[in-house]
Amino acid sequence: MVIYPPNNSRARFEQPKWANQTTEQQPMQYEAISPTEQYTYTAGEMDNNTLEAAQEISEAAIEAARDKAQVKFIMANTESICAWRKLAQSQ
Amino acid sequence: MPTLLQQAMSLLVGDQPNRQPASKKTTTRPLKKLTDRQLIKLESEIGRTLFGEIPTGRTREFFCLDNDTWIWHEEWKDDAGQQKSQTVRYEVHPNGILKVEDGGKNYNFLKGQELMNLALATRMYHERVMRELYKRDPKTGALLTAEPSTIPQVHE
Repeated sequence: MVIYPPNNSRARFEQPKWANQTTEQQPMQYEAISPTEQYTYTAGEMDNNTLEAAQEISEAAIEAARDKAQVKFIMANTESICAWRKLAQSQ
Repeated sequence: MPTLLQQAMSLLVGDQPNRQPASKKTTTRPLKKLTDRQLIKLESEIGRTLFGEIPTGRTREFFCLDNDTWIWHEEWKDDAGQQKSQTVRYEVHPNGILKVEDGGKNYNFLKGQELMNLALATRMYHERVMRELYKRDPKTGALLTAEPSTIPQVHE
């Protein structure tokens, strides 16, 4: 947290002792930010319905990807069986 | 000249393998002479067992027809003794599995649990048919038996 001197203090006009140091030598300054100030939600993000909709889209995408994988798996099994059936007849 | 009794016994119990001259034995695999239809029938004997016990009086078939189609077929008699049957065709498309029922009147793409169940059934079908019928390792395709004698041979 940065603590500023009172407005009427001379200290306000005094340079901090690290002012002439290089950037690397200067101490880190931390500003205390309350959790509510860390991120400003937009109106849409604050809307619960929007959040739920986003979650639904995500779940639907996962399910679609899972279904796609199952279809590929069935296709592979089908092609394999038919190929071995042909091979069994030819050998 | 074999007697009539010997001929009848031969028909009943078959020829003893040691009676066949070794030169007439072939290593031809038995499945070579089977048609697609016959192989599918053999596959279906395995396929029909994948879904548990079949109720008495009901027949079931489940098999891979070709590169694009799986068939589920059941027949039974209802309480009035009427013969009933149900055939479901699963069409394999790159964008999904189309389930076709009632001769094409009802159709929809499988998804979710039903699709997963079919995937599981095809996997079990593949594994068991490969092992039990084609005598191959389902993953590598390697012949499971090194000795041809363990596979029934065709005598020509």
